[in-house]
Amino acid sequence: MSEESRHPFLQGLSKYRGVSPTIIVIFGASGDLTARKLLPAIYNLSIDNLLPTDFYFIGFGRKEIADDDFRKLSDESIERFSRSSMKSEVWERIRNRTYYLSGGYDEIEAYQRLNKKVSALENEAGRELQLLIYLSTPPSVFEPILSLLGKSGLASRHENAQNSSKIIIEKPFGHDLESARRLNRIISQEFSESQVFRIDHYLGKETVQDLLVQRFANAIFEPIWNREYVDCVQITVAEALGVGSRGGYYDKSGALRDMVQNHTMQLLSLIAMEPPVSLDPEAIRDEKVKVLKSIQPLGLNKNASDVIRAQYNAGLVDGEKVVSYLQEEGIPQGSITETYTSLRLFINNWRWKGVPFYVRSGKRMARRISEIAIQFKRPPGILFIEDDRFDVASNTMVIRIQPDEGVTLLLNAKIPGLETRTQPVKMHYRYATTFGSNTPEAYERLILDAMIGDSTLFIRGDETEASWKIITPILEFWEACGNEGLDAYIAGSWGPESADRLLAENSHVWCKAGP
Amino acid sequence: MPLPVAEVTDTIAAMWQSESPDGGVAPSEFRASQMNLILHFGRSTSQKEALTQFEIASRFAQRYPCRIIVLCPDLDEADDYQLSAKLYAQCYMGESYNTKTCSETLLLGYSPEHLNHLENQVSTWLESDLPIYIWLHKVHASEMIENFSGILKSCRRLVYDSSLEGDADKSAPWPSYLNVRDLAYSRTLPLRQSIGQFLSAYPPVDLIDGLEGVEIQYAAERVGESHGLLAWHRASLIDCARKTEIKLDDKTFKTRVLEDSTDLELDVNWTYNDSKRFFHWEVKKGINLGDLRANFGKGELTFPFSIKLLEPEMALGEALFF
Repeated sequence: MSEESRHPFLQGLSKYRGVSPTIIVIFGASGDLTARKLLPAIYNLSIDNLLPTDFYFIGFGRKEIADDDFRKLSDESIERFSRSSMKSEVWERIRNRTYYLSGGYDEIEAYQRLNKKVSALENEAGRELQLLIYLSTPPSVFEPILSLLGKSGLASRHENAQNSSKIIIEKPFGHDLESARRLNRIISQEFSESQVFRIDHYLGKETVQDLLVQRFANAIFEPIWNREYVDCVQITVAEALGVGSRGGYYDKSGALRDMVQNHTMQLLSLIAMEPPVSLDPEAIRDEKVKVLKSIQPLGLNKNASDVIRAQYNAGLVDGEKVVSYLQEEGIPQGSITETYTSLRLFINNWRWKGVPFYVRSGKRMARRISEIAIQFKRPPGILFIEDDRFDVASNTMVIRIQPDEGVTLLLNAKIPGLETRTQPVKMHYRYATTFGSNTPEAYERLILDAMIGDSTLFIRGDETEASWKIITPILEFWEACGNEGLDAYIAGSWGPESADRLLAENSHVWCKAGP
Repeated sequence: MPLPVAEVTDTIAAMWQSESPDGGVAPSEFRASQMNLILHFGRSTSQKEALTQFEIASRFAQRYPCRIIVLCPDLDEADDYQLSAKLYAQCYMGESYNTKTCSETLLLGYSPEHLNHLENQVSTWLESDLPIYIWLHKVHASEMIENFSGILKSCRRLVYDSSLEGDADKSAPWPSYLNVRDLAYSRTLPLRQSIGQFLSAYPPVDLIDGLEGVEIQYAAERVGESHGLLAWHRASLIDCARKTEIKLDDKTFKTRVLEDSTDLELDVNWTYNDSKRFFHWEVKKGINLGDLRANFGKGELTFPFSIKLLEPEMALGEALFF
């Protein structure tokens, strides 16, 4: 909304301080995500005085929970998981406006009760309230929820107004292209795209938002950000953890669906996109979609594939013994779900033609790290031919998303001394030591953005479909192969040897991930 | 750590050496800095005031790591006068490696007689390439303009507190390129946010039609806040008038100091030609919750709201960055 069109008494205030009066309804309110992330995020927004003066919070779920008990659960989750310590004088006001409604996700009466509650709160407030619905449920119930939100009229409250209903949808957005399309169709029957906020919490991370700034606010990078100078791009999203208690869910998902289809594809599109015409949400998302649409179909055959998949065996992680994937709780005997995958992608456009983009993601890897490495071409070896005296590395820019967020530039320098000898050195800029580390959690930023209707950091429907269009053929190929081609790696390693070979085919090696 | 002025730069470098003496994590890993903050005390600053402001700056640095340079007047008039320096480093211990940060503060004792030499001295201590912000406390604008013209040119923002120093700084002939902000106005952000959100529920015509005037009464220590809020009310209502084509020329906007005995800090009243219509809110000393009471022609409404002014270190951040 432009400054000119805002109410005179909101002008001059940051858009984040002019949030419309809002009711947040979380579906799946007794779940882990609500306790660990969503409630602390709401609390921290209230600590920072960023919530509207009229703010209500309703938990919705199948479990029967009394309002008071839900408030106590909220207190506990804030005390346990919030980055700011509990200030009861701040929380008290929201706590008193916190409610819980129970009902089946496919039970229209429950939605009618919810609608009545929303109207009653509007009466109490004496004004219209924006309804922000957060779907934090298993994806299997997305469809009935979306449909009944429409039928009950909750989706169309204050239609076409600034305070119209909005919905945040947690991943996964489908499990393949067909299901993503179907989900988008159902969403679009009940909501217009401007009301829909598909969340990928990676986009709420400061370092991911910083990607745009690094690329487009620094004149030194853009001229070399192309096939003339970039040798390859490597994206690593590695986890040291195993599947934990999520075995049942994970086994149906796998690394490709769980991490690559969403997080890594978002990172790839941000790193490869053309400069948007403005910072307008649609301008940025248009460019991201263009990148995804330009990705060349992957080579998928049993002898020469652009895709590697593997499962972890027992090993050592952080010095402790860990079991193999098949021995994890909830994993069926003989499961062929991949816990690691790496992809070699090519973007068929003017800027990137011929530059490989390597993506890898897995569980039980050597360490938890997410980073993007842009490896530049070597200078012609006329002066400093690599030998004993000249250790010349490819210039590499590493953008670390987590942990130890920052940017590292690998340069070559002369070792002090009479002889001219060279050695790679690192220039390192670390977020925490420049800006301190008390930054908002991703969910705080994203919930606030949804409340003000800013969709920049959310995924548009066509983005999800473009991403599934790349991923679905891989899933189909793997299904056809059965366990043939499923490699193994030792827990605590950087993945299977086949992933190294994938890069070796183009004379590349994985960058060492880490500080 | 007291030290000769000439050794300041080297001592800072040594303090944040890039190698750990014991082989552990090097101190430089935790050093944080995104800006320079010059906290400049004038000659009438009391020791108590200086300590209060220094503590605010330290808390500010915890959220926005920076190099703080504190300029303290030294009224010793010895003939062989020398500038004196103290170096003070602070570390905040978080729960993890990633939440520990350290930054440094340089305290410089200066003679007001040598004010004209101070800028050069300070310039050597600024962290190069990082933005410069200045916080004045009881320093005359004319002294700054006369003696700090170089630093003012590269200063991103200069802040002062009109509740402590009056409006003189606001109307001082600051260079046109300089961004000057009032901490007193920044402190009112939560009030403007709450009231703005409340009033934005009403169409501008409801607010302005029949309005006679706005009066803000204030406790003496809230003079800056009252003036800032009145200016905000006036600007917003003028904009309402522009949108509705109702003239505001004959309306009165005034502030008035409250009697000492009252427990109020701020008391705001809008009056209308129809006595049923009104808008009123007040801030009571030591109380963080209050009521907005209004009748804009559609019935009386009482609305509870948070009336806490921004914490000093948050107000400093607001004034410097937003």
